[in-house]
Amino acid sequence: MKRVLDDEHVTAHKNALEEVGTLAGDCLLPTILMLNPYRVIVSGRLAVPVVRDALVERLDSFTAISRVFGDAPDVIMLEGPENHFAAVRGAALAVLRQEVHRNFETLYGAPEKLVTARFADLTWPLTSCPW
Amino acid sequence: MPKTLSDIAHAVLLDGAELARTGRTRTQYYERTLERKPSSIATATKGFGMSRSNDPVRALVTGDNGEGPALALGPSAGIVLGVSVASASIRAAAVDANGFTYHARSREPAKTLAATQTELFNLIKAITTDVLESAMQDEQLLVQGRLPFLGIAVAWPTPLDREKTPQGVFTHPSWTANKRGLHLRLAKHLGIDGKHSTASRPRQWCHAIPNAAATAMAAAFDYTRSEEYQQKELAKLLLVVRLSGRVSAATISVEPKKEANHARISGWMISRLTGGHKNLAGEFGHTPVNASTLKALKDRRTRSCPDFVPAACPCDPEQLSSDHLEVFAGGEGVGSTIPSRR
Repeated sequence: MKRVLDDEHVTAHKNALEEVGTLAGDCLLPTILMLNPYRVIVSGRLAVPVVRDALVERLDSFTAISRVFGDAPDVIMLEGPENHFAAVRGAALAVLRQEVHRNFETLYGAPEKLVTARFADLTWPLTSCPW
Repeated sequence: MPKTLSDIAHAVLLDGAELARTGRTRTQYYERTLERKPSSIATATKGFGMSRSNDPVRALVTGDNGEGPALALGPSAGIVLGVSVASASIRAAAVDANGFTYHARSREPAKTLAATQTELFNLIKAITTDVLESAMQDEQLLVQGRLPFLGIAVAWPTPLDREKTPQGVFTHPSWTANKRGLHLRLAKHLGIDGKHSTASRPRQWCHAIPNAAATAMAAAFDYTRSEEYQQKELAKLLLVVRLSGRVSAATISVEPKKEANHARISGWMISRLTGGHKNLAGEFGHTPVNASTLKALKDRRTRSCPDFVPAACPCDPEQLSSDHLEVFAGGEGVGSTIPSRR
Protein backbone atom coordinates (compact mmCIF):
# COMPACT_ATOMS: atom_id res chain seq x y z
CA MET A 1 0.00 0.00 0.00
CA LYS A 2 2.86 2.35 0.85
CA ARG A 3 4.37 1.93 -2.61
CA VAL A 4 1.03 2.77 -4.22
CA LEU A 5 0.41 5.83 -2.06
CA ASP A 6 3.96 7.13 -2.33
CA ASP A 7 3.59 7.44 -6.07
CA GLU A 8 -0.10 7.58 -6.82
CA HIS A 9 0.37 9.29 -10.19
CA VAL A 10 1.95 6.19 -11.76
CA THR A 11 -0.77 4.82 -14.01
CA ALA A 12 -0.78 1.35 -12.48
CA HIS A 13 -0.95 2.82 -8.97
CA LYS A 14 -3.72 5.21 -9.95
CA ASN A 15 -5.65 2.29 -11.45
CA ALA A 16 -5.22 0.27 -8.26
CA LEU A 17 -6.58 3.15 -6.19
CA GLU A 18 -9.49 3.67 -8.57
CA GLU A 19 -10.32 -0.01 -8.16
CA VAL A 20 -10.43 0.44 -4.38
CA GLY A 21 -12.90 3.33 -4.78
CA THR A 22 -15.04 1.46 -7.29
CA LEU A 23 -15.24 -1.70 -5.17
CA ALA A 24 -15.94 0.29 -2.00
CA GLY A 25 -18.69 2.20 -3.81
CA ASP A 26 -20.12 -1.07 -5.06
CA CYS A 27 -20.21 -2.55 -1.57
CA LEU A 28 -21.72 0.62 -0.10
CA LEU A 29 -24.82 0.46 -2.30
CA PRO A 30 -26.94 -1.82 -0.05
CA THR A 31 -25.95 0.16 3.05
CA ILE A 32 -26.86 3.45 1.40
CA LEU A 33 -30.20 2.14 0.19
CA MET A 34 -30.89 0.75 3.65
CA LEU A 35 -29.83 3.74 5.73
CA ASN A 36 -30.12 6.77 3.43
CA PRO A 37 -27.15 8.54 5.09
CA TYR A 38 -26.86 12.29 4.95
CA ARG A 39 -23.14 12.11 4.33
CA VAL A 40 -20.48 9.50 3.61
CA ILE A 41 -17.09 10.33 5.11
CA VAL A 42 -14.05 8.55 3.70
CA SER A 43 -11.11 8.23 6.07
CA GLY A 44 -7.98 6.15 6.58
CA ARG A 45 -4.70 5.91 4.67
CA LEU A 46 -6.54 5.30 1.42
CA ALA A 47 -8.62 8.46 1.78
CA VAL A 48 -7.04 10.09 -1.26
CA PRO A 49 -8.72 12.01 -4.09
CA VAL A 50 -8.39 9.18 -6.62
CA VAL A 51 -10.21 6.74 -4.33
CA ARG A 52 -12.84 9.32 -3.36
CA ASP A 53 -13.53 10.24 -6.99
CA ALA A 54 -13.89 6.61 -8.07
CA LEU A 55 -16.22 5.94 -5.15
CA VAL A 56 -18.37 8.96 -6.01
CA GLU A 57 -18.44 7.97 -9.68
CA ARG A 58 -19.56 4.46 -8.76
CA LEU A 59 -22.33 5.72 -6.46
CA ASP A 60 -23.48 8.17 -9.13
CA SER A 61 -23.71 5.30 -11.60
CA PHE A 62 -26.35 3.46 -9.57
CA THR A 63 -29.75 4.39 -10.89
CA ALA A 64 -31.31 2.80 -7.81
CA ILE A 65 -29.91 5.61 -5.64
CA SER A 66 -30.98 8.39 -7.97
CA ARG A 67 -34.43 6.88 -8.47
CA VAL A 68 -35.08 6.39 -4.77
CA PHE A 69 -33.29 9.38 -3.25
CA GLY A 70 -32.94 11.79 -6.13
CA ASP A 71 -29.17 11.88 -5.82
CA ALA A 72 -26.28 10.10 -4.12
CA PRO A 73 -25.30 11.19 -0.60
CA ASP A 74 -22.70 13.85 -0.13
CA VAL A 75 -19.25 12.18 -0.04
CA ILE A 76 -16.42 13.97 1.74
CA MET A 77 -12.89 12.88 2.44
CA LEU A 78 -10.84 13.64 5.53
CA GLU A 79 -7.42 15.02 4.65
CA GLY A 80 -4.07 15.65 6.31
CA PRO A 81 -3.96 15.86 10.11
CA GLU A 82 -7.76 15.85 10.27
CA ASN A 83 -7.63 12.37 8.74
CA HIS A 84 -4.52 11.10 10.52
CA PHE A 85 -5.77 12.10 13.95
CA ALA A 86 -9.52 11.57 13.49
CA ALA A 87 -9.58 8.32 15.45
CA VAL A 88 -7.26 9.80 18.11
CA ARG A 89 -9.67 12.71 18.63
CA GLY A 90 -12.77 10.55 18.36
CA ALA A 91 -11.59 8.05 20.97
CA ALA A 92 -10.80 10.90 23.35
CA LEU A 93 -14.05 12.73 22.58
CA ALA A 94 -16.06 9.60 23.42
CA VAL A 95 -14.62 9.80 26.94
CA LEU A 96 -15.01 13.57 27.17
CA ARG A 97 -18.64 13.30 26.10
CA GLN A 98 -19.36 10.66 28.74
CA GLU A 99 -17.51 12.35 31.57
CA VAL A 100 -17.78 16.06 30.80
CA HIS A 101 -20.15 17.16 28.04
CA ARG A 102 -23.06 15.12 29.38
CA ASN A 103 -22.40 16.48 32.86
CA PHE A 104 -22.23 20.22 32.22
CA GLU A 105 -25.07 20.89 34.67
CA THR A 106 -23.30 18.93 37.42
CA LEU A 107 -19.90 20.48 36.75
CA TYR A 108 -20.46 24.01 35.46
CA GLY A 109 -23.93 24.37 36.99
CA ALA A 110 -22.86 23.35 40.48
CA PRO A 111 -23.44 25.81 43.33
CA GLU A 112 -20.52 28.21 43.37
CA LYS A 113 -18.90 26.70 46.46
CA LEU A 114 -18.92 23.24 44.90
CA VAL A 115 -17.56 24.07 41.48
CA THR A 116 -13.92 23.69 42.53
CA ALA A 117 -14.56 20.36 44.25
CA ARG A 118 -16.60 18.98 41.35
CA PHE A 119 -13.84 19.72 38.86
CA ALA A 120 -11.17 18.43 41.24
CA ASP A 121 -13.08 15.17 41.57
CA LEU A 122 -13.32 14.76 37.81
CA THR A 123 -9.65 14.25 36.98
CA TRP A 124 -6.37 12.80 38.23
CA PRO A 125 -3.97 15.73 38.64
CA LEU A 126 -0.58 14.61 37.36
CA THR A 127 2.85 16.04 37.93
CA SER A 128 4.65 12.96 36.65
CA CYS A 129 3.83 10.07 34.38
CA PRO A 130 1.79 7.51 36.36
CA TRP A 131 3.25 4.50 34.50
CA MET B 1 -25.20 32.68 38.64
CA PRO B 2 -23.83 29.13 38.21
CA LYS B 3 -26.63 28.45 35.76
CA THR B 4 -25.07 31.10 33.58
CA LEU B 5 -21.80 29.18 33.65
CA SER B 6 -23.40 25.93 32.42
CA ASP B 7 -25.27 27.88 29.73
CA ILE B 8 -21.96 29.32 28.58
CA ALA B 9 -20.39 25.84 28.55
CA HIS B 10 -23.22 24.56 26.36
CA ALA B 11 -22.91 27.56 24.05
CA VAL B 12 -19.14 27.17 23.75
CA LEU B 13 -19.57 23.49 22.92
CA LEU B 14 -21.76 24.51 19.99
CA ASP B 15 -19.91 27.63 18.88
CA GLY B 16 -16.31 26.83 19.78
CA ALA B 17 -15.15 25.95 16.29
CA GLU B 18 -16.98 28.92 14.84
CA LEU B 19 -15.30 31.19 17.36
CA ALA B 20 -11.91 29.82 16.38
CA ARG B 21 -12.70 30.20 12.67
CA THR B 22 -14.17 33.69 12.66
CA GLY B 23 -11.86 35.27 15.20
CA ARG B 24 -14.83 37.01 16.78
CA THR B 25 -13.97 38.86 19.97
CA ARG B 26 -15.34 37.84 23.34
CA THR B 27 -17.43 40.97 23.63
CA GLN B 28 -19.00 40.37 20.22
CA TYR B 29 -19.67 36.74 21.15
CA TYR B 30 -21.18 37.61 24.52
CA GLU B 31 -23.43 40.31 23.09
CA ARG B 32 -24.45 38.84 19.74
CA THR B 33 -24.60 35.11 20.39
CA LEU B 34 -25.05 34.66 24.12
CA GLU B 35 -27.11 37.86 24.32
CA ARG B 36 -25.46 38.79 27.60
CA LYS B 37 -23.50 41.80 28.65
CA PRO B 38 -19.80 41.20 29.21
CA SER B 39 -20.24 42.43 32.76
CA SER B 40 -22.78 39.69 33.52
CA ILE B 41 -20.39 37.05 32.17
CA ALA B 42 -17.61 38.53 34.27
CA THR B 43 -19.83 38.26 37.34
CA ALA B 44 -20.76 34.66 36.54
CA THR B 45 -17.19 33.58 36.09
CA LYS B 46 -15.66 35.60 38.89
CA GLY B 47 -13.61 33.36 41.14
CA PHE B 48 -13.10 30.73 38.49
CA GLY B 49 -9.99 32.44 37.08
CA MET B 50 -9.98 31.67 33.44
CA SER B 51 -6.61 32.46 32.00
CA ARG B 52 -3.66 31.70 34.23
CA SER B 53 -2.34 28.20 34.81
CA ASN B 54 -2.23 28.77 38.57
CA ASP B 55 -5.89 29.73 38.77
CA PRO B 56 -7.78 27.27 40.99
CA VAL B 57 -10.41 26.33 38.44
CA ARG B 58 -9.83 26.73 34.74
CA ALA B 59 -13.30 25.68 33.69
CA LEU B 60 -13.36 28.20 30.85
CA VAL B 61 -10.39 29.89 29.25
CA THR B 62 -10.15 33.04 27.24
CA GLY B 63 -7.96 33.55 24.22
CA ASP B 64 -6.79 36.28 21.92
CA ASN B 65 -7.94 34.64 18.68
CA GLY B 66 -4.29 34.01 17.91
CA GLU B 67 -3.22 31.03 19.98
CA GLY B 68 -6.80 30.10 20.79
CA PRO B 69 -10.42 31.16 20.32
CA ALA B 70 -11.92 33.98 22.35
CA LEU B 71 -13.58 31.56 24.72
CA ALA B 72 -13.15 27.80 25.19
CA LEU B 73 -13.71 25.01 27.69
CA GLY B 74 -10.72 24.96 30.01
CA PRO B 75 -8.30 22.20 30.98
CA SER B 76 -10.15 21.61 34.26
CA ALA B 77 -12.71 19.78 32.12
CA GLY B 78 -10.05 17.14 31.57
CA ILE B 79 -7.32 16.14 29.17
CA VAL B 80 -7.63 12.73 27.53
CA LEU B 81 -4.74 10.97 25.84
CA GLY B 82 -6.21 9.76 22.57
CA VAL B 83 -4.42 6.94 20.75
CA SER B 84 -5.15 5.21 17.48
CA VAL B 85 -3.58 1.92 16.49
CA ALA B 86 -3.72 1.12 12.79
CA SER B 87 -2.11 -1.64 10.77
CA ALA B 88 1.01 0.42 10.05
CA SER B 89 0.93 3.32 12.49
CA ILE B 90 0.32 4.42 16.05
CA ARG B 91 -0.74 7.99 16.71
CA ALA B 92 -1.41 9.81 19.95
CA ALA B 93 -2.23 13.29 21.20
CA ALA B 94 -3.61 15.09 24.22
CA VAL B 95 -7.21 16.13 23.57
CA ASP B 96 -9.19 18.69 25.56
CA ALA B 97 -12.96 19.15 25.96
CA ASN B 98 -13.02 21.39 22.88
CA GLY B 99 -11.68 18.54 20.75
CA PHE B 100 -8.42 20.44 20.23
CA THR B 101 -5.32 18.25 19.98
CA TYR B 102 -1.93 19.00 21.51
CA HIS B 103 1.49 17.38 21.35
CA ALA B 104 0.51 14.99 18.57
CA ARG B 105 2.89 12.12 17.90
CA SER B 106 3.03 9.56 15.14
CA ARG B 107 5.06 6.40 14.72
CA GLU B 108 5.18 3.73 12.08
CA PRO B 109 6.14 0.42 13.65
CA ALA B 110 6.36 -2.70 11.52
CA LYS B 111 3.12 -4.69 11.29
CA THR B 112 1.15 -3.89 14.42
CA LEU B 113 -1.46 -6.55 13.69
CA ALA B 114 1.10 -9.35 14.03
CA ALA B 115 2.57 -7.98 17.27
CA THR B 116 2.12 -9.72 20.60
CA GLN B 117 -0.15 -8.03 23.09
CA THR B 118 2.81 -7.00 25.25
CA GLU B 119 4.70 -5.57 22.27
CA LEU B 120 1.75 -3.44 21.22
CA PHE B 121 0.98 -2.33 24.77
CA ASN B 122 4.62 -1.27 25.12
CA LEU B 123 4.35 0.79 21.92
CA ILE B 124 1.23 2.49 23.33
CA LYS B 125 3.04 3.05 26.61
CA ALA B 126 6.00 4.65 24.85
CA ILE B 127 3.99 7.02 22.66
CA THR B 128 1.60 8.07 25.46
CA THR B 129 4.53 8.69 27.79
CA ASP B 130 6.03 10.96 25.15
CA VAL B 131 2.74 12.90 24.75
CA LEU B 132 2.13 13.07 28.50
CA GLU B 133 5.60 14.32 29.37
CA SER B 134 5.31 17.02 26.74
CA ALA B 135 1.78 17.96 27.88
CA MET B 136 2.91 18.26 31.51
CA GLN B 137 5.28 21.04 30.41
CA ASP B 138 2.54 22.93 28.58
CA GLU B 139 1.11 25.69 30.77
CA GLN B 140 -2.05 26.05 28.72
CA LEU B 141 -3.03 22.49 29.72
CA LEU B 142 -2.19 22.78 33.42
CA VAL B 143 -4.27 23.71 36.42
CA GLN B 144 -2.13 24.87 39.32
CA GLY B 145 0.87 23.17 37.77
CA ARG B 146 -0.83 19.80 37.32
CA LEU B 147 -2.22 18.07 34.27
CA PRO B 148 -5.91 17.21 34.82
CA PHE B 149 -5.74 13.70 33.38
CA LEU B 150 -9.06 12.17 32.39
CA GLY B 151 -7.79 8.91 30.92
CA ILE B 152 -6.37 7.12 27.89
CA ALA B 153 -8.73 6.26 25.06
CA VAL B 154 -7.42 3.86 22.44
CA ALA B 155 -8.99 3.39 19.01
CA TRP B 156 -8.26 -0.19 17.93
CA PRO B 157 -8.14 -1.68 14.43
CA THR B 158 -10.37 -4.53 15.54
CA PRO B 159 -14.06 -5.00 16.27
CA LEU B 160 -14.73 -4.92 20.01
CA ASP B 161 -17.72 -6.61 21.60
CA ARG B 162 -19.65 -5.12 24.52
CA GLU B 163 -16.95 -6.24 26.96
CA LYS B 164 -14.34 -4.60 24.68
CA THR B 165 -12.83 -7.98 23.85
CA PRO B 166 -11.13 -7.96 20.43
CA GLN B 167 -12.74 -10.11 17.77
CA GLY B 168 -10.13 -11.32 15.33
CA VAL B 169 -7.63 -9.12 13.42
CA PHE B 170 -4.72 -9.59 15.84
CA THR B 171 -3.03 -12.80 14.81
CA HIS B 172 -0.79 -13.59 17.78
CA PRO B 173 -2.28 -16.06 20.30
CA SER B 174 -1.51 -13.71 23.20
CA TRP B 175 -4.55 -11.66 22.21
CA THR B 176 -6.98 -14.55 22.64
CA ALA B 177 -5.43 -16.04 25.79
CA ASN B 178 -7.11 -13.32 27.84
CA LYS B 179 -10.87 -12.80 27.78
CA ARG B 180 -10.90 -9.42 29.55
CA GLY B 181 -11.62 -6.21 27.71
CA LEU B 182 -8.70 -4.41 26.06
CA HIS B 183 -9.21 -1.36 28.29
CA LEU B 184 -8.80 -3.51 31.42
CA ARG B 185 -5.73 -5.28 30.03
CA LEU B 186 -4.06 -2.00 29.09
CA ALA B 187 -4.84 -0.47 32.49
CA LYS B 188 -3.20 -3.48 34.15
CA HIS B 189 -0.19 -3.28 31.83
CA LEU B 190 0.27 0.41 32.66
CA GLY B 191 -0.31 -0.24 36.35
CA ILE B 192 -3.14 2.27 36.64
CA ASP B 193 -6.12 -0.02 37.24
CA GLY B 194 -7.92 1.12 40.36
CA LYS B 195 -5.51 4.02 40.90
CA HIS B 196 -6.83 7.37 42.12
CA SER B 197 -10.23 5.84 42.81
CA THR B 198 -12.42 6.21 45.84
CA ALA B 199 -15.02 3.82 47.17
CA SER B 200 -17.71 6.28 46.19
CA ARG B 201 -16.20 6.95 42.78
CA PRO B 202 -14.34 4.00 41.26
CA ARG B 203 -12.50 5.21 38.18
CA GLN B 204 -11.64 3.56 34.92
CA TRP B 205 -8.71 5.37 33.29
CA CYS B 206 -8.41 3.28 30.12
CA HIS B 207 -11.02 3.10 27.40
CA ALA B 208 -11.32 1.23 24.10
CA ILE B 209 -13.29 1.85 20.91
CA PRO B 210 -12.93 0.54 17.34
CA ASN B 211 -11.15 2.84 14.89
CA ALA B 212 -14.11 3.49 12.58
CA ALA B 213 -16.40 4.23 15.54
CA ALA B 214 -13.83 6.67 16.92
CA THR B 215 -13.59 8.40 13.55
CA ALA B 216 -17.39 8.65 13.47
CA MET B 217 -17.33 10.27 16.90
CA ALA B 218 -14.87 12.90 15.70
CA ALA B 219 -16.93 13.49 12.55
CA ALA B 220 -20.12 13.91 14.59
CA PHE B 221 -18.44 16.28 17.04
CA ASP B 222 -17.07 18.46 14.25
CA TYR B 223 -20.40 18.43 12.46
CA THR B 224 -22.24 19.60 15.59
CA ARG B 225 -19.81 22.53 15.80
CA SER B 226 -20.24 23.56 12.18
CA GLU B 227 -22.23 26.49 10.87
CA GLU B 228 -24.23 24.05 8.73
CA TYR B 229 -25.42 22.12 11.82
CA GLN B 230 -26.91 25.24 13.38
CA GLN B 231 -29.55 25.32 10.63
CA LYS B 232 -30.59 21.65 10.86
CA GLU B 233 -33.77 20.63 12.63
CA LEU B 234 -33.69 16.89 12.00
CA ALA B 235 -31.29 14.10 12.94
CA LYS B 236 -28.67 13.32 10.28
CA LEU B 237 -26.98 10.00 9.72
CA LEU B 238 -23.25 10.09 9.05
CA LEU B 239 -21.62 7.02 7.54
CA VAL B 240 -17.87 6.80 8.05
CA VAL B 241 -15.88 4.44 5.84
CA ARG B 242 -12.35 3.71 6.91
CA LEU B 243 -10.09 2.47 4.14
CA SER B 244 -6.74 1.49 5.52
CA GLY B 245 -4.95 -1.75 6.38
CA ARG B 246 -8.41 -2.92 7.36
CA VAL B 247 -11.70 -1.84 5.85
CA SER B 248 -14.43 -0.93 8.31
CA ALA B 249 -17.28 1.50 8.78
CA ALA B 250 -19.45 3.12 11.41
CA THR B 251 -22.70 5.05 11.45
CA ILE B 252 -23.74 7.73 13.88
CA SER B 253 -27.09 9.46 14.09
CA VAL B 254 -26.44 13.10 14.93
CA GLU B 255 -29.33 14.70 16.75
CA PRO B 256 -30.28 18.35 16.17
CA LYS B 257 -29.64 20.96 18.82
CA LYS B 258 -32.46 21.77 21.18
CA GLU B 259 -33.43 24.71 23.33
CA ALA B 260 -34.00 24.20 27.04
CA ASN B 261 -34.60 27.07 29.47
CA HIS B 262 -33.30 29.50 26.85
CA ALA B 263 -30.02 27.59 26.56
CA ARG B 264 -28.92 25.97 23.31
CA ILE B 265 -28.00 22.33 23.90
CA SER B 266 -25.91 20.43 21.33
CA GLY B 267 -27.28 17.19 19.93
CA TRP B 268 -23.74 15.79 20.30
CA MET B 269 -24.58 14.58 23.80
CA ILE B 270 -27.38 12.31 22.61
CA SER B 271 -26.07 11.34 19.17
CA ARG B 272 -25.82 7.58 18.86
CA LEU B 273 -23.34 5.22 17.26
CA THR B 274 -24.91 2.11 15.78
CA GLY B 275 -23.38 -0.74 17.73
CA GLY B 276 -25.69 -3.57 16.74
CA HIS B 277 -26.67 -6.68 18.68
CA LYS B 278 -23.17 -7.52 19.95
CA ASN B 279 -21.69 -4.08 19.34
CA LEU B 280 -19.87 -5.48 16.32
CA ALA B 281 -21.57 -3.40 13.61
CA GLY B 282 -19.38 -1.85 10.95
CA GLU B 283 -17.58 -4.87 9.53
CA PHE B 284 -18.07 -3.46 6.07
CA GLY B 285 -14.80 -5.04 4.86
CA HIS B 286 -16.39 -8.47 4.90
CA THR B 287 -18.98 -7.56 2.28
CA PRO B 288 -18.56 -9.87 -0.74
CA VAL B 289 -17.63 -7.88 -3.82
CA ASN B 290 -19.73 -8.11 -6.94
CA ALA B 291 -18.23 -10.65 -9.37
CA SER B 292 -19.34 -8.69 -12.43
CA THR B 293 -17.66 -5.53 -11.11
CA LEU B 294 -14.45 -7.50 -10.57
CA LYS B 295 -14.63 -8.81 -14.12
CA ALA B 296 -15.24 -5.30 -15.48
CA LEU B 297 -12.22 -4.00 -13.58
CA LYS B 298 -10.09 -6.88 -14.83
CA ASP B 299 -11.12 -6.19 -18.44
CA ARG B 300 -10.24 -2.52 -18.06
CA ARG B 301 -6.71 -3.17 -16.87
CA THR B 302 -3.66 -2.88 -19.05
CA ARG B 303 -2.04 -6.11 -20.11
CA SER B 304 0.99 -5.56 -17.87
CA CYS B 305 -1.18 -5.68 -14.77
CA PRO B 306 -1.49 -9.13 -13.25
CA ASP B 307 -4.88 -10.45 -12.18
CA PHE B 308 -6.09 -10.02 -8.61
CA VAL B 309 -4.12 -12.46 -6.51
CA PRO B 310 -6.67 -14.61 -4.69
CA ALA B 311 -6.12 -14.23 -0.97
CA ALA B 312 -8.15 -15.31 2.02
CA CYS B 313 -9.91 -12.79 4.22
CA PRO B 314 -8.44 -12.63 7.73
CA CYS B 315 -11.96 -13.22 9.10
CA ASP B 316 -11.98 -16.76 7.78
CA PRO B 317 -9.96 -19.37 9.72
CA GLU B 318 -10.50 -21.87 6.91
CA GLN B 319 -9.16 -19.36 4.40
CA LEU B 320 -12.00 -19.85 1.95
CA SER B 321 -13.43 -16.33 1.75
CA SER B 322 -11.52 -14.63 -1.00
CA ASP B 323 -14.27 -12.32 -2.24
CA HIS B 324 -14.46 -9.94 0.71
CA LEU B 325 -13.91 -6.24 0.04
CA GLU B 326 -11.01 -6.17 2.50
CA VAL B 327 -9.12 -8.71 0.37
CA PHE B 328 -9.11 -6.22 -2.52
CA ALA B 329 -9.30 -2.85 -0.84
CA GLY B 330 -7.45 -3.49 2.45
CA GLY B 331 -3.75 -2.94 2.98
CA GLU B 332 -2.55 -6.25 1.55
CA GLY B 333 -4.93 -6.13 -1.38
CA VAL B 334 -4.08 -2.67 -2.69
CA GLY B 335 -1.42 -2.97 -5.29
CA SER B 336 -1.83 -6.71 -5.73
CA THR B 337 -2.69 -5.88 -9.35
CA ILE B 338 0.43 -3.83 -9.88
CA PRO B 339 3.40 -5.32 -11.72
CA SER B 340 6.31 -5.95 -9.38
CA ARG B 341 9.35 -3.72 -9.58
CA ARG B 342 12.26 -5.30 -11.36
